[in-house]
Amino acid sequence: MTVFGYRYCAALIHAMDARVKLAALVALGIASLHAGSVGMMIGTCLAFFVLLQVRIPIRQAVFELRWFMALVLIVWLIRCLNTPGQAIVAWHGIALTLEGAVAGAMIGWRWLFIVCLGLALSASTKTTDISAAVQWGLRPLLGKSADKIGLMIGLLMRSIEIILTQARQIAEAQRARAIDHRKNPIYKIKMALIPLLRGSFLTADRMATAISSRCYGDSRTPHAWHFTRNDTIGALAILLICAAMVLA
Amino acid sequence: MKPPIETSHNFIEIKHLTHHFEGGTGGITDVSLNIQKGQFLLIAGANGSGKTTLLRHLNGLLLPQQGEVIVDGVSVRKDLLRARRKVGMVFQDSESQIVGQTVYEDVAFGPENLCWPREAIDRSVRQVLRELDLSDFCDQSPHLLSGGERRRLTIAGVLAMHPDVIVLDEPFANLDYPGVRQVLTHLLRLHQDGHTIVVAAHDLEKVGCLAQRLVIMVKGRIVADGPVMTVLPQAEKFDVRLPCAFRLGQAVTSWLN
Repeated sequence: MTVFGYRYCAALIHAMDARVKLAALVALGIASLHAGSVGMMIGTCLAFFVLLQVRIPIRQAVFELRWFMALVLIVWLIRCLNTPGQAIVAWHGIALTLEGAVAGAMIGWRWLFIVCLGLALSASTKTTDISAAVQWGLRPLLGKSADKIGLMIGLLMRSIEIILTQARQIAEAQRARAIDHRKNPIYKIKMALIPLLRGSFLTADRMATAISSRCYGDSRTPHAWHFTRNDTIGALAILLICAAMVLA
Repeated sequence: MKPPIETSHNFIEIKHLTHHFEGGTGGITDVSLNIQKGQFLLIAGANGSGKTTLLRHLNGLLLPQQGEVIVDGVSVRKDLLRARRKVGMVFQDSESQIVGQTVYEDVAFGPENLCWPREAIDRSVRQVLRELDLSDFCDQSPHLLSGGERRRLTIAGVLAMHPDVIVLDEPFANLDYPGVRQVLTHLLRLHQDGHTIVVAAHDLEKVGCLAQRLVIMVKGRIVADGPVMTVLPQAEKFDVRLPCAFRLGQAVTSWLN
């Protein structure tokens, strides 16, 4: 099981209405774009609290997000090199600037903040609730097509979990056959990619067949929402936090 | 072992069914078969004998290239949704059959597709979970279940739609002994409750003595059909391994005994 999958626990955030959680993610994401470092500190405290509530194993989360972290690092480095300003380190005409380091760090911080909140959302909300919330949000704009987008999101989230599990199994099987003795990383990626793609397509095909055999069609029983007083309080609290992030 | 139920009502009628795939593997040729209501039918055969292809025609996942499949008097081709509601299909790979994030949600998937009212869905799901001893796992992720529990969940997923026929493709694949016994117990109970059961398997060891009728397929054709004890002696001729006890000249006993 990956950290991205839904994990049941009796935390308050699990019981909240998916529409409120999704709206909160969007609002906090927008707020983070307008927030300075103090505002981001407020947001980060909230994200940390939410992750603790959801009981995500932090070490596993860091491990599974390692490639994302590498991407953040690359973006930070590019910013350092591209942004004009006071040089921290200079070597043969290439300089890392202070202004670039700060700007790059802010971008990385915002990305990590949004990813952490997304992680909390996916771990605390069932896929069907998320896709139903997306449908609910898009229906005024897209009408009937929103239902299809909702299903696509639901299946995508389920597929991510399956693909990551398959990738781990393939890596273990290849390690058992001494792939670690190969030094060429491209060879390793190639050998992992072929069975992973094949497995993913096969799984997708089987899943589609299984869904068809259980009468999946255009119309379904509407989703049952459970909007409570806690959701109203939660929504108001998020609005206040967003305001604090922007104004701080 | 129960005697075959004598009834004139063929719930499923397969008439001269032919279906071939590109590359020529796993197809079926001119298969005719009638399945009576309440019957426990075992379809055996080596890998690639066409068992899965045949089963997939029963609820319209595949449509005949030639011939016809009729479920409860109506051609599958004419009303796919009806066929899929009447014939529930449990696949070999439970992992890709489970679509819900929780056990409850997965079982509710089928009834939701049938647009049942929320109360009816809830009633059906809770009843099926109780029947299959899965009530305690209601809010759990299906991926945390054992192999036997997961297989029961896939059965629950089709039972919640109240099908008349339950079709299971290799239901004992990758199951340990307790898992096999769990599935067998529930299959037996479902049969006693009046469901028609169709099981495809490549060996007769686990389910042979529970079934009433045995059909053996070779290269896409039915080569033997009849009461289990009549067909059993010929099985090995068609690459289907006999139950251990039968080879030793003893009576075939259930794994549940």
